[in-house]
Amino acid sequence: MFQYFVRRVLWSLVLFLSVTLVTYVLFFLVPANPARQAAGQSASPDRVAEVEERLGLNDPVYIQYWGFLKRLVLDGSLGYSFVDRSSVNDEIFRAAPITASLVFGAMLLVLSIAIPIGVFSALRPRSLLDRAAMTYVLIGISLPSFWIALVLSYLIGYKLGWTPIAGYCEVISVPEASNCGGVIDWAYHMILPWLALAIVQAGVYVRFVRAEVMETMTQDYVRTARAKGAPERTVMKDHILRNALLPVVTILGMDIGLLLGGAIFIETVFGLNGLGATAIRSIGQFDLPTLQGVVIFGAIAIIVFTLIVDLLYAWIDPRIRLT
Amino acid sequence: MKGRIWFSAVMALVGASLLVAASASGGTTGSSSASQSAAQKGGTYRILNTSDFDHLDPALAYFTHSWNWMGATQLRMYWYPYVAGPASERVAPMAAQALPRVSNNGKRYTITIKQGFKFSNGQAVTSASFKRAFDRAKNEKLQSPASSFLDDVANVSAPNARTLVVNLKKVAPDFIPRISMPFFSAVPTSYPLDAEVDKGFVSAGPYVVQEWTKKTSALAVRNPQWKNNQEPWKSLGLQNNVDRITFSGIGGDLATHRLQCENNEADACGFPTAQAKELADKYGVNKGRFMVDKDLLVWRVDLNNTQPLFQNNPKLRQAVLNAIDRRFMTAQHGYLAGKRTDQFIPYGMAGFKEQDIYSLKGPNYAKAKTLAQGNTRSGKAVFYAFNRAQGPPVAQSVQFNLKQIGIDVEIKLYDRVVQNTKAATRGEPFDITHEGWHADYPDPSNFINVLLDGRKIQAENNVNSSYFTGNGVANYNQKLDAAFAAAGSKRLDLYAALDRDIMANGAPTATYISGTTRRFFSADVGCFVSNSQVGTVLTTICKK
Repeated sequence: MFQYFVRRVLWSLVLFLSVTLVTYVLFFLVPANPARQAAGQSASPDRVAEVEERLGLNDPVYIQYWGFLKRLVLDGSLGYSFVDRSSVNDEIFRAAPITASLVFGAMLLVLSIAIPIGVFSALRPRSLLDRAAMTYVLIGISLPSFWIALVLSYLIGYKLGWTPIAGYCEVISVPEASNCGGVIDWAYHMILPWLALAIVQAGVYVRFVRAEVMETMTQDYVRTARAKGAPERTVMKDHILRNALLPVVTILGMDIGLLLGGAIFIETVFGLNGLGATAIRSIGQFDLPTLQGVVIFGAIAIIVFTLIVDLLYAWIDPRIRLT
Repeated sequence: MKGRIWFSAVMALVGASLLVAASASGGTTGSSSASQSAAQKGGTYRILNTSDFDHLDPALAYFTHSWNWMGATQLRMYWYPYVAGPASERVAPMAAQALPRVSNNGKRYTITIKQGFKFSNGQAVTSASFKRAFDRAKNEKLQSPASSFLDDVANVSAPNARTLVVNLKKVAPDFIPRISMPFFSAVPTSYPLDAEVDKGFVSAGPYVVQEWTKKTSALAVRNPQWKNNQEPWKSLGLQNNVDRITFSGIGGDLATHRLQCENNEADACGFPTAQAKELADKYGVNKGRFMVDKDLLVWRVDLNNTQPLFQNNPKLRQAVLNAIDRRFMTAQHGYLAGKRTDQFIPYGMAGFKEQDIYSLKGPNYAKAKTLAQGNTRSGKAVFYAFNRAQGPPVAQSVQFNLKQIGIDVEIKLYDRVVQNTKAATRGEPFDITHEGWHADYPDPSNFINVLLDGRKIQAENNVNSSYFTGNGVANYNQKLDAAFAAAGSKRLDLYAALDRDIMANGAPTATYISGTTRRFFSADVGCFVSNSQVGTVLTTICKK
C-alpha cells in the first residue's frame, strides 16, 4: 500500500510538471506580449521594457519557468496577476470554495437522483419507470448545460421568482457590499446551479448505474447468494450495489476532479465567480500567472481525487490489493 | 484602458464583457430621466458588472468601469462637469479656483487650489495632494499608465498649500483636458509613491470606497466630509443622492444580468448586444430604462501606408473609402451601437463638424472604380481581422467591396489580442486591419494626434496602425502641430478642417461607426446624468 502510494505521488509530480510546462509553452507560442497590454497602447518601447522587467518577461522562457517552479516549491507562491497585480494564491483561495460549493453540492444531488433511479430501472427493465428514466437520460445528456442553466435561470429565477436569478453568497466573511450571507442564503443561491449541473450529470450516472446493476445481477455470486437463501435486501446491498457502484466511484472521482478545474458554463450563467470564470477571464486577458494557478489547481484536484478513488477501491472491494 | 478597444472586445468575446463597462462609460452629452432637484435621496445603487475593477488606486485604475468609480470617489483639479448639455463638454475647475495661469511661453501652468476640500479622513486637500498624484504617476516602480501622459512634464512643485506649478517641456494645449483624467486626483500624502493602495482607501470625492473584496464586490459610501450645502462643495452642484453604491456580478453572464435588472435585483446591468433591439422595443429608447448616448468611440478599417499596396497611393486609399459599405459594417455592431461616419473625430466631441465626404448609405462603386483605375498595383491585400463578434463580417464585407474595384482581399483571422499586437508592429505584412479607439479625454488631439502622427511610429506597440505619415496630404505635420498648438475655437476649427482634409485627401483609414454607449437600468432608477469621461455619473443617480 505504501509503495503504491509513493509511486502514485511520483507519477503525480511528473503529471504536474507536464501540465505546467505545456501551459507555459502554449502561452509563449501565442504572439502577444502581456507587458504591452499592461503598459498601455502607445506606450514607448522603454516603458514596455520596464513592464517586461517587472513581470519577469524579459528572461528566456526556460528561466521564467524555472523561476516559477522555484517560487512555487520554496515559497508556495503562484505569483502575481499580470493584469491587476493581485496574488494568484489569494485568487485561487477565493475562487476554489465557490467552485467546490457548486461541484460537491451538485454531485450529491446527482448521486441522490442517479442511484435510486438507476437501481429501480435496472430492477424493472422496460417498465414505465425505466422508460421514463431513459427518456430523462436522453434529454439530460443531449441538452447543453449552459442552455439548461439559462432556462432554469429564466423560468424559475426570473419568471416564477422562486430562487435568485444569479449570484453567490458567502457563508463566512460576508462582504459589506453583499445583500446576502450565511448558510441559508448560500444554499438558496446555489439551488439553481446545483440543479443545472445535476440534470446533465445525473443523466449520465442513471444510465451508468442501471447498466452496472443489470450486469452485476447476472453474476454467479449473486445467483449463489440468492440460492443460499440470503434476503433480497442483503443481496442487493452487499452483493449487487457494492460491486455495481465500484465503477461509479471511479467516474465520480474523475468528474469531481475535472469539475473542480471549473464548471465554466454553469459558473458563468449563475454569476459564480469560481475557477471556471477565473480561467476564462485570465485567458482573455493573457494573464499567465492566474491561468497557471487555475491549471495547477485543476491538475492537483484530478490527481488527488484519482488517488482517493484508488484508495477507496480497496475499502469497497477487499479483493483489490493496491500493490 | 479607455483607448484599448481591443481589450473590451476580447472581454466581450470571452463572456466577461466590458460591454457592461461600456454601458458605464459615457456619452458626451449628459442625460437624465428625472429632475435632479426633485431627486429622491437615499437607498443603494447596485451595479452589476461582469469584470472587476483593475485597480481602485487612482494612479493605476484604467478600466472604463474603474473610472466610473473614480468619478464618484475622487476630486480632481479640473473636470467635465456632471451636468446634462453642452456644459459637460467644456473642461472646468473642480478643486482648482479657476483655469490655470499660463506663462507667456505656454510652458508654465500655475494652478490655485480652492480651500476647504477635505479627504474622507478629515485631512485637508492641498496642492501637495495633487503633487503627490503627479509624483506617483511618474514613479517608475509604481508603473502607472498615467506616466505615458506626462512625457512633456518637466517638473511639478507645490510652493504653498494652495499653489501647484507645472513646468512643461513644450507647449501642450491639451494639458488641462489631460489632467482632468482620474489619474491626477488628489491623494493623501501618506499614499505610498511606489506601491498600489488596494485597501484603506481615503479620497476627497463625494463618495469613498469603504470595501473592495477583489473579484467579488465593492462598496462606496458617502464621504462624511463632503457637504453639498457649503462651499467649496456647493458650487460643484453635486447631488450625492444614494447612500451606498455596490458593485458585484463579477464573472457573471450578461443575459442573466439583464434579467436581474428586469427583476429589480440590481440597478445597472449589461446585456448581450443581440438583446439591444428587444430592450429598445420593450422599454423604448431613452425613456428611463434603456438609454443610448453618444460615446467618444470610433471603429475603423486602417490601410497600411508602409506596405506596397497603399504606400504613396492616396487614390487607391480614397477608392477604398468610397467602396466600403458603412451601413452593413455599422449594423454588425448591433442595434443602436453607433452612427455611420466617414470622419475621424467622433460625433459629439469638441471639434467635430458634420462633413459630407463619402457615402454613408452604401458603396459608391462608380467613384471608387474611377479612383482605383491604374492604382491597384498587385491587386492583392491582406486583411488582419479578429475572429469574433463583428470582426469576421466586417472583414468579409470589405473583401466583397474591394473585389468590386479589383482588389482581392485575403482575410487572416486572429484572436483579438494577437491581431492587435501584430498590427501594432511596424513592418508586419498586412495591408488592412480593423481597429477601434475610445478617447481617454474629450479632446480631438486624443484622436487625431495620438492616432495619426507619423512621427510617433515606433518599432512596436503602435496605435497608428495605418502607419500614416502624412503622405498625400500637403504640409500634414505642420497642420497637425498647428491645430494642436492653437487655442479656443480656432483650435476646434483647425481640427475640424484637419478631420476633413485627412479623410478626404490622405484617406489613411476608413472610419465607419461613431459609437454609442447603451445602458440598461432597473425600474428603481429615477435619474442620472452621463459624462464623457466617467460614464454614468454615480453622484447623480437617484432611486425612485
